[in-house]
Amino acid sequence: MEDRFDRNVRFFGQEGQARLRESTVAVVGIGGIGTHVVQQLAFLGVGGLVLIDHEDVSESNRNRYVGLQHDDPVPGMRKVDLGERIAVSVDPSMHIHKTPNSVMSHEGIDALMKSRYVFGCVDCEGVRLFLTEACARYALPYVDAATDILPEEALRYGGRVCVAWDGHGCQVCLGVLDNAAAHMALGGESVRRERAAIYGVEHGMLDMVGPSVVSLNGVIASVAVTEFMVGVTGLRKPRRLLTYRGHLGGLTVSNDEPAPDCYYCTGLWGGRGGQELRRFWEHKHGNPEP
Amino acid sequence: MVRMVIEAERFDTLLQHLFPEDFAGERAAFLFAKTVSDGGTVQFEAVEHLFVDESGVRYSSLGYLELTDETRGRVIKRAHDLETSLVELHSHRLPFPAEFSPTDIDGLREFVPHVWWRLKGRPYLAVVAAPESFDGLAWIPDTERAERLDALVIGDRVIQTTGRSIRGWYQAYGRSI
Repeated sequence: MEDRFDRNVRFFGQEGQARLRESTVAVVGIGGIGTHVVQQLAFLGVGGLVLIDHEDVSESNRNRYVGLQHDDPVPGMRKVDLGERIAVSVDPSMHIHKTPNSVMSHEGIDALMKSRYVFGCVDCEGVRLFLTEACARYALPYVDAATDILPEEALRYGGRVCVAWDGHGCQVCLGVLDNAAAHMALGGESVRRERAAIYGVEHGMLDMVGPSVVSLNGVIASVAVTEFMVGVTGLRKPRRLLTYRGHLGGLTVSNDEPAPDCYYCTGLWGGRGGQELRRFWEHKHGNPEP
Repeated sequence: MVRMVIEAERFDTLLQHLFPEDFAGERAAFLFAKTVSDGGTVQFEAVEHLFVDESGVRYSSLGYLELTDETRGRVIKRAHDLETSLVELHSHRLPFPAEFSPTDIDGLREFVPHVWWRLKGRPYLAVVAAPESFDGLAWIPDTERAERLDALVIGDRVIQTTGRSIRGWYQAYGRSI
């Protein structure tokens, strides 16, 4: 084992380091949380990275994306290229595949299916639901990380990490995912218009950009990568749900049991049903965007 | 121990088919192989090959491959006629060490029992070829569970496999087929 991992090995052993080295990890969303995650995975010694993000870096990202340099061209820089640079700057020997497409595209699905673990670092409930389904179907451990700042009268801020590791708990049955928002996001323009006509204009349709800061992203990314690390190396089983309440200064671990009849954990987990993801997705939601 | 034995010339042709310069997607091929058991070693020795062309593919991309039902039926029939085992091979074009993907494993879980039934329980071998390495899983009737492919023997050259896929298989499906 390389000397650069000596301090890792002293923590979780040669076998743990070898397991990390053999891991190929997909990071979906190379943004405020995703850039932290990529950097930490590289330091841990993960062997392969699949980077999936269809967006370019924007000017307002400069306050929190680790690895983004002051003179990087914005606009004009793809987030997957930033992710690659972050990883390679730490470990040039990493195997990296970049997919500058939505994860809900043929290219995104193909890339996702080449990984053994998945990090979801996105801000769309629809994508979260998609990843929940995809990972459950193919028994891929899925770590979802999200921050939240609610600029209301009583300011609340923090985030949470939800880990669907072995079919015993996911964002849906732990009540983390906003199903209505997810289905609206996946339903397309007609569904959004219909819903707006009934309920008024949704917050998400206003294309509002919320507050976001580097430290909250860093806390949540670190918690997410730690749960991944302990799971892969065998230090302990990852926790299903961890919530950071920054306004209170505390991290809580949920002891809630997942729903025993969860469709994703019990019905889909491990590919039962035997369908291939692409056909399943096309049948259920139509042909993915190119 | 499980090994695949193939002549150097056939192997070179196979690699050219699996990694064509003018096509970025995944490709597939089949070998028809005699199986030889010696002590604890099982060898799949290639005697004939079939390279799957575009007409035998339902869908192929940089990260995914699906064959037509006609192709599957055709190779099973040929193996039956030759009284050989079937070896399936496909390429991965992404820059990772060789390892079956979750979709590969899902496909094997459906296809291997079918082949066993059609070919009366003959050993079956599946191989994935990555740009710089190989891996494989074998199903030997006596053991009735997936075994890792240990090495490819090409003429007098031996290539060790990555051995990564066996963990993914057991992670998804336990020790049964």
